[in-house]
Amino acid sequence: METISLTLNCDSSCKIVACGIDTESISRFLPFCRQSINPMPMVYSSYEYRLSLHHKNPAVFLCAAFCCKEAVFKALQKPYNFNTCVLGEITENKYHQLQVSDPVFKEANIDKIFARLFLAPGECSVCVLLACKH
Amino acid sequence: MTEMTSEVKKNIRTMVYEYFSGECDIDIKDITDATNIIEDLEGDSLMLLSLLEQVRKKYGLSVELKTLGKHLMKKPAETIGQVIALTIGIVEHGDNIINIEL
Repeated sequence: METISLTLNCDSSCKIVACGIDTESISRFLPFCRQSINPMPMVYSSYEYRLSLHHKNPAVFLCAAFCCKEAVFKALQKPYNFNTCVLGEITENKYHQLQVSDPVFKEANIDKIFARLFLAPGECSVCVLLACKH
Repeated sequence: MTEMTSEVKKNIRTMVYEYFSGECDIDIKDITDATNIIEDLEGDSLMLLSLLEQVRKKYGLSVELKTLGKHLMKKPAETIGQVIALTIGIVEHGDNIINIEL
């Protein structure tokens, strides 16, 4: 993985509080794409599920979103509702800001969460940075 | 929440055994209550979450992942037997599982 830097790549008004990583095989998410409803409502918000349907490869989106949520859990080290940590549209940007609404993030003084996606054939890896304002 | 009868318990046990047998491509006869999900079956959180989603759908539960996470931090589910106990607890108590000493 390439070196990542919050100050250089994301937002210089924040400092890193914690980081987490996760990797999953994309093929594991293929069965979820065969379902006509949100396959895991405890994990994916309805917004994410809709985004996955419009992604050129829904399994890639579901895999990336799951990696983000797992990586955030590893960084936060506290249980939270995965469906309240939302990956928006996957773009060409290096960093994606995750939208979170679970109160646990406020309690932990987390203001922003950045995710760096590494998409490779067959697998997706994610590194997340949990940050607070100076 | 579902009334916990011996029939429901039996169904949950069968569901958990069949799920891990299928997911991990292992003969169901080679799985016991003492089988460790990570060490023996190379299972992971995605597998457990997927199973719990199936349980949630089958029994019409609205349990939150945060509640399950808090419970698992107190009482980890590392073996098949522990996952069965967790699943029975969720089906019987829903989100109230966090207040129950299983």
